[in-house]
Amino acid sequence: MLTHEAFTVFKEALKVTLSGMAGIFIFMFIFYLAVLTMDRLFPKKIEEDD
Amino acid sequence: MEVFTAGLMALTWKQMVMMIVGALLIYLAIAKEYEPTLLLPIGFGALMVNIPLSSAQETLDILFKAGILTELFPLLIFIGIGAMIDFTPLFKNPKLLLFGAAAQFGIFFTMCMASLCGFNLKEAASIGIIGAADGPTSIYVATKFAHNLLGPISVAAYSYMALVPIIQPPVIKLLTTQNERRIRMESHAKSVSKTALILFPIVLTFLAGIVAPVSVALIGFLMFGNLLRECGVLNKLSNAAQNELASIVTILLGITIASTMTAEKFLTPSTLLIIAMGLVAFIFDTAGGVLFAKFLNLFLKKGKKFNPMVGAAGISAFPMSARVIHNLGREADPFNYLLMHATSANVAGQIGSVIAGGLILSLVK
Repeated sequence: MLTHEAFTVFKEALKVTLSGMAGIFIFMFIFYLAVLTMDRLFPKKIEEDD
Repeated sequence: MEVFTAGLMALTWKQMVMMIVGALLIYLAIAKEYEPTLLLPIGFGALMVNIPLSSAQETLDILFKAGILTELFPLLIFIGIGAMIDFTPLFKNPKLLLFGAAAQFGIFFTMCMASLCGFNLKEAASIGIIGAADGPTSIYVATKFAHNLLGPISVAAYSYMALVPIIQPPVIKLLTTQNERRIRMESHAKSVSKTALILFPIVLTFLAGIVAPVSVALIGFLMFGNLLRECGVLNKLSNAAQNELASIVTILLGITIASTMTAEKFLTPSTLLIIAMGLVAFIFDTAGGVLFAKFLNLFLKKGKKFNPMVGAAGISAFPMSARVIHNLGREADPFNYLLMHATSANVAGQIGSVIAGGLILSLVK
């Protein structure tokens, strides 16, 4: 049987879920942009292959 | 005579059950090679602490206070893990970073389910983090939020990581069609500069630290290990972090966690719930990754679509998950080579799981 207390915790957990999933996507998108930028700024040079 | 029989007389059925659990973990570690580096020390430690009147508990308690309650052991392990990770595959296809986010869905779904089962928010978050598929992150979060549940959470996290080849395929097959599993993805054969690889751990630590300072310990130690690897001038330290440091701390971490596996703490209904919730977390991680890839495919042209199975590799269990996806791809089409893409998603999952841990620590009050 679902208690009132459990339901209150569940609602808090839902809020954390929304913020958490949004947060991870934002972080990963920022990292994606960082990787693209670093790759553009520092492309692999031919000398580095040798 | 009483001196020799005191231990036997004090033995309870619960302690006997725990010794069987310990023996089972040792069996799984040796005979089945399920995460032996952790399950064997945990199993042996469980045997030691459940022997009546055991003197081992005292020593293990000292280690627990010094290494787990201070969060030292999981953080030191991160240096070793960081030194083992090669981020080159991510530079080849950075879009796959997003799968490292989607495949953390199981963490949050499980947290919600655990809250409905009567756990408080901090306990529910610690149970959910089993879905990070990353032992040190689970231990780190559980230590901060619910160290009374550390034993079952650690056992569940490491056991399910070893069971990824059994857990993921049925979930993936349920959510994808044969045609979707046949999708071939473009190869990205470009090279990555050394400068970019050196800057990557520094930039990531800075960005993560600015946005969520509480995650700096987790991401910082991981990235410090990676910098040792990539800088090119500290090979000796990088090797020490990958081998000696990681091995020593793993031994201490495993046997110390076992100190929480006494019969009275472990043999409770909540342990069974946590073990069940761990499975839920891994299933919904996999589902989250696959469904996110299918969602992205709705907007992509033919020839540019993702194989949805690659989304499932966004969990942190490296490199098992990538191998599972590659094998499933070849099962659907013997000439479909998904290993490189799955490895990229898998590496993204390693970052994603640490970020998820940091966010949980920031958001749960």
